[in-house]
Amino acid sequence: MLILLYQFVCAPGIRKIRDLNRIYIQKQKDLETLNSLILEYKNKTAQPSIAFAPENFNLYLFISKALQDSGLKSQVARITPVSENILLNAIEQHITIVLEDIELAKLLNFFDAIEKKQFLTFGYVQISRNPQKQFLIKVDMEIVSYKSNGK
Amino acid sequence: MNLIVYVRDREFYFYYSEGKSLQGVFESDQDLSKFFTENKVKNLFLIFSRPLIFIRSLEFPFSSLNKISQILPEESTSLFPVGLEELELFWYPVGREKTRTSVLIMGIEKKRIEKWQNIKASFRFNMKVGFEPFVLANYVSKTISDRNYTIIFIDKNYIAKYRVENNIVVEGSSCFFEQQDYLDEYLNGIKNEKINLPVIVLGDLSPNKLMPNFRMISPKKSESCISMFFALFQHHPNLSILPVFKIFTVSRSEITVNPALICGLCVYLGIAGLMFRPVILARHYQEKVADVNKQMEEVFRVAFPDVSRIVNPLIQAKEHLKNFQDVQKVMPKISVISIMATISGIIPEHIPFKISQMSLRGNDLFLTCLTDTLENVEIVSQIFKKAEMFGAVKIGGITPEAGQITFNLLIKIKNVQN
Repeated sequence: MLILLYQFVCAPGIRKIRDLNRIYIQKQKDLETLNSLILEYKNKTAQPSIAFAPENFNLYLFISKALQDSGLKSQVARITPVSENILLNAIEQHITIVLEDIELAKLLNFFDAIEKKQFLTFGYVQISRNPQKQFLIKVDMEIVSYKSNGK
Repeated sequence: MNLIVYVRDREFYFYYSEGKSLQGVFESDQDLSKFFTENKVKNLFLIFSRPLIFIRSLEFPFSSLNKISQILPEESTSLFPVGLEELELFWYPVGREKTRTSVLIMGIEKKRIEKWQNIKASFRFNMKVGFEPFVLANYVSKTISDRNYTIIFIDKNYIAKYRVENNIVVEGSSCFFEQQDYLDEYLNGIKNEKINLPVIVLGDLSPNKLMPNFRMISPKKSESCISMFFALFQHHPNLSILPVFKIFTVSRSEITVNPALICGLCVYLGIAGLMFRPVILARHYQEKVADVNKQMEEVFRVAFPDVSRIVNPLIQAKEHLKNFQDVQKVMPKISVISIMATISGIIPEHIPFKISQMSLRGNDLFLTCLTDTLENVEIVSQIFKKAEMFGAVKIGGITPEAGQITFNLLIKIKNVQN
């Protein structure tokens, strides 16, 4: 009777305990990992949120107008169409502009128009002085805007 | 080496050994001890007379003796003046039909037997317990051929009457009398009884008192014989004290506790219990795992309340975090005008300094600058380092060229505006 009890009750029970103990230890580690992931997530989400452009905002039109207002429209050497990247909670729009032989003052006006808009930022800016005409500069820049994707 | 003790109003004894015969009365316990010390006893027949026996009859509406045996103790509880636990009960069927069984129950107080059992334990002999009616019936059956009769046993001032049917004692009564008139009345009463059975008179009765139809059996009694009861044994030395029919004892449920058995049972149960321990522990571990799972789900639900279906909290959390990495690629908002203003503000006017190229990508600012001396390169770099807006400042390649020093500055923008 005792042998049968050992064979069919005790031994399977011991095996089950071993397995469950292993699972329990793993689950505890998982819980720790989960907590650290959540902490990381919270830290990241705690960063200031992105300012989004209004729904009806058109980056291309805005840049065109800003260039015109700054008197730089004629100095545009190249401008790329708007491209989009879809992120988790935003739509990222890019536009790259190359301006040649412009005056610094006009450029600053243009930059001012850009920086006033919270939802616009520079992907990159590269300013280089014209070696021959020291007061004229060439600017290659990427302007980025963020729109909400509704999530 | 046999001893017959006939217990009635007193304890009469009849001892007979090889050539030796003793009769007397045990007046006290001292007498008893003295007797057993002086005489070797091998077999003791302890015979109780009618006054010491409770005789009751019961009827059952079935014939199974097993059933009767089971319910008899309960049924007979109210029949006796003392508690059943104080009685040793014997019973036998006296009438048995298909749907009806009559039984006769004989009860003797245990204390009367225990006294002799103690003596038995001290002096080591065999002991048999018997009853007067069986001895008388056995004696009569050796003398006459009838199977149904009434026995009248008269021994000095003691008279007992037993009715025997089919050689089975079915009824009995007894009394003591002081005057001969009582005996006459008693015998007249028996004569007038409706039950017409032969009456066998055993004992001390003068022939002139014998009623018609009464048969007298008078065993030869020696002068030294103190009781007619012992005269029966003198006449028939091999007279059995046991009845010719089967007699049952009433066994009450007395649990005999064997310590070894109990210990063994405890050990067995202990081991068997231990065998089940892993099963119980497994349940405990299962609960612990379930608790952790529940805890994970709760933590996940609090952190991500928008998730409706939780499958694997860990993987789902990783997925969330991975998706969030994309959002982190958002370009930092840095004011180019502020950078330019800061640079203009921190460089002293007496230091010849010109920027030929400025490149900004994320937090990284790259400047290609011109100055006149290597010392000024160092001064400029120190000035940049001191500026609040700039973090790490590194000087890149330095190229002296046509009286001018061209050098690169690699700067991390610290003051990021959002």
